Amino acid sequence: MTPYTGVTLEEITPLVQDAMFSRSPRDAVRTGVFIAGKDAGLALDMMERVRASLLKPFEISAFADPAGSFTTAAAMVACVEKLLKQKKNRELAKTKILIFGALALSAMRPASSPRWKALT
Amino acid sequence: MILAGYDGAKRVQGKADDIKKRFGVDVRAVDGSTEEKKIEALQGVEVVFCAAAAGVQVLSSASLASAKSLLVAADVNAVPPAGIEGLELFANGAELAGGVLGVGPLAIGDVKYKTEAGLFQRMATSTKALSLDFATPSSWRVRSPEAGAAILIAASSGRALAAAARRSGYRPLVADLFDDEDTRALAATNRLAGHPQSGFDGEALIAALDAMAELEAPAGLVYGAGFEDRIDSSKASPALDCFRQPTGHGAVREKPGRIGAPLRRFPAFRIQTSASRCRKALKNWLVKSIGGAGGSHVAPAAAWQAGCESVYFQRIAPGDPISLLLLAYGTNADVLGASRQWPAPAPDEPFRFGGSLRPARLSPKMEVLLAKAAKAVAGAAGLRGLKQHRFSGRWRRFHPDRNQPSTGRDARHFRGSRRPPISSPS
Repeated sequence: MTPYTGVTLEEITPLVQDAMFSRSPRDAVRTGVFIAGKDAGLALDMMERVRASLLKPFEISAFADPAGSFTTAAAMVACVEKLLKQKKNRELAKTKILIFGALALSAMRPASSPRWKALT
Repeated sequence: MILAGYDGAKRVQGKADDIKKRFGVDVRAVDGSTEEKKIEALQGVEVVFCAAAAGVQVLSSASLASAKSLLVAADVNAVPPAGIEGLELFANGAELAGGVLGVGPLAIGDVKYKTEAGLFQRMATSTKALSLDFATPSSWRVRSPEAGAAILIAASSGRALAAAARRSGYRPLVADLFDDEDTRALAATNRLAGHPQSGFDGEALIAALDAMAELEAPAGLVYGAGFEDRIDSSKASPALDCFRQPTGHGAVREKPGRIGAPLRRFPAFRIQTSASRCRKALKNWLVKSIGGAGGSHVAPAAAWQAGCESVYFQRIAPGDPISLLLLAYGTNADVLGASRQWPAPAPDEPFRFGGSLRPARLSPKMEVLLAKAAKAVAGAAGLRGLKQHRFSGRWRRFHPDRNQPSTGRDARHFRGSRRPPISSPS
């Protein structure tokens, strides 16, 4: 595992392509990029850039979870969804939702689920 | 969806615009700077997510109590004071002021770290490149019931599945044909639902399952052998409806052409329902009784006698049987893994089931190929629930063998497996 700190959006493509072209396509798939940091928006832009940098058959995996916020938010949504279903027999997608602390990164993920597009 | 800012609406408006642009979601920003404004923002709201800075109380008991429509409030702040007044760290449905159900930071944290670790694991073991950022729907749908959950089991003998459920910390509710002492000792509740000779009594089975489901609110239904020849018996049970229970076997009979299509690429896959069509080469064929299981239903085709009708003929494929365990969703399926089986021949039962082992030691490529075929069959038949699909062969040649509509003995190999599915719904 090799950490790269202070990476900018522009540096994503060369970093990703150096990683994927240095091994055979079969082994390249065993390479993964983890995007950390504190900026959820930037992390998503970086993911987009990673996807755009991949060339078949050289493909590597990428996983974004800045400050653990995406998995935290996914877990929060999942817990609430389950509770609503079990105790109130309601679908999360059909409820009105208020989020406090929108600048905390976690809030991005609940807002980002495609299922939520049908909402409000 | 509404975003509330503790210092007014202006700052969160920028974030709302970004979310709207990025994901096309309708989001609006409101001012949540004072107690009154928070109460106003809560009007009509049913769910609250708190993701504010650590150690900041966002909602007081008074504002919770004033929010008449509020059902659930969740908070990820683990540093005291809690972001929501009265919320315990591990709360998962505990009532707060005004009867609102609370979800605490460590209840969320428990799911969070499992999600994160699971995704890392998936990335490390995947055979294709993954892109994990939650912006696309996750295909990871396999989730275990909570520890101690009740599981309904229906099988001709429920003992093995009940033992498997106990080993995994669940409480088995068993309907079977034996009601033996071993099963009684394992089961939380059990009922007799037929006779070993004649099989399940449909009405008795549904009544038994319904009665147990009403008492225990089970997390799901697992069914084993005993239904192979009863393709429709899993249909009608009001109490079981909530599981979207295993169905779809009827389709195997109704749409054989469509279901067979994914298997045509396996050249040796031949099934005949009449002996005359395969008579010329009878020595290379097997005869199987429809709906049989366990290997005692298989014999060399030469042993077939005219007049014996509920059978089909299948060409012999050399090699060992491989069994894929599937979790089917009707239109698609997860292939959970593969195991290898061997026969324990008896003089009158040359193909009797002997045992099974995991891993199956297939090449990754072959694993994916077989998984694709099994998924296509499950999808075309609209199967639901845990299924097994068998292939026979060796080296690079495998042939579809049998689509077993129930959970077999091999399922036990997957207890506690942390390996991601060979292939998830695409």
